[in-house]
Amino acid sequence: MAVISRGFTGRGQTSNRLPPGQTLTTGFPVLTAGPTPHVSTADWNFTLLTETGTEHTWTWTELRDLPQDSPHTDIHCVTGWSKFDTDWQGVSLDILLAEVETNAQFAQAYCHGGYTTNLPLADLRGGQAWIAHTFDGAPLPAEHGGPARLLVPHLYFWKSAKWVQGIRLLEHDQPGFWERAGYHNYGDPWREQRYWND
Amino acid sequence: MPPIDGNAAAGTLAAFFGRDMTAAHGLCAACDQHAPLAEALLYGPAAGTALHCRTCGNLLMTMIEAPGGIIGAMPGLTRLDTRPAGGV
Repeated sequence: MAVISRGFTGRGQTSNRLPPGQTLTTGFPVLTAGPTPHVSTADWNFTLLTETGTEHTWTWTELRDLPQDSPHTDIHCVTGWSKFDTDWQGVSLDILLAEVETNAQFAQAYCHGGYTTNLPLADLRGGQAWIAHTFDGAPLPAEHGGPARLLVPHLYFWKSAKWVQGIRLLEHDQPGFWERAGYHNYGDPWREQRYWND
Repeated sequence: MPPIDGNAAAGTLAAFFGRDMTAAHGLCAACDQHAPLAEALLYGPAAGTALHCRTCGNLLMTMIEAPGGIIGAMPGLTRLDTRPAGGV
């Protein structure tokens, strides 16, 4: 009997967009390792703190007066779900970092509630990262990190820190909350970098 | 999402330590509260298990379930005591 192999047609559109080990969801699961902070936009501000100690701070109004982006992107959670075609609005980190003189190579986001996460500064540049305040056309709800969260969708979503308060620019890498606890230091979903030393 | 108590982490704790740990007493590194892990606060769902001190909110312990094992960290526990009543 002849052995017939399946014709190679390439991966379908979904599998091309779905990193290894991920399952597609249409929901938007809420994950949190601590209490949900409730921060009013009147009290909100965002700070870039350079390696020399210089601070650049934007109030909510100042952030909203900057040029706004509308990233349309897929997101991937390390726990295994991915969500396609999410719509955000926010300010590109390129715009915020343009105000700052730095030779730093690394960044650590810090948040209301104490959460932190780290990544190379290069991953915040080049149209890859935003301070996002709007999801699906509505203000970002507190359970999803509102008033504003970091959005870095090319990395696992724990890097997209909720309730972001500021970003420290650092000469040396400083692992954050989940990175110290055992998740991967970088977290590329396409290389399935889930756990420390994966 | 309101927190639940540390009993919800009983299974993960047992898998990590190889015994029931809910009655083990931990000493919080931030406020010196001495309490069983069952009384810690657990928020979630999360990317891992994170136990917080019921008194001051300090992060006591994290556990991440990975293929082949559990990665644990105890950044906020000065002491962990499995003797009956934690040696009290």
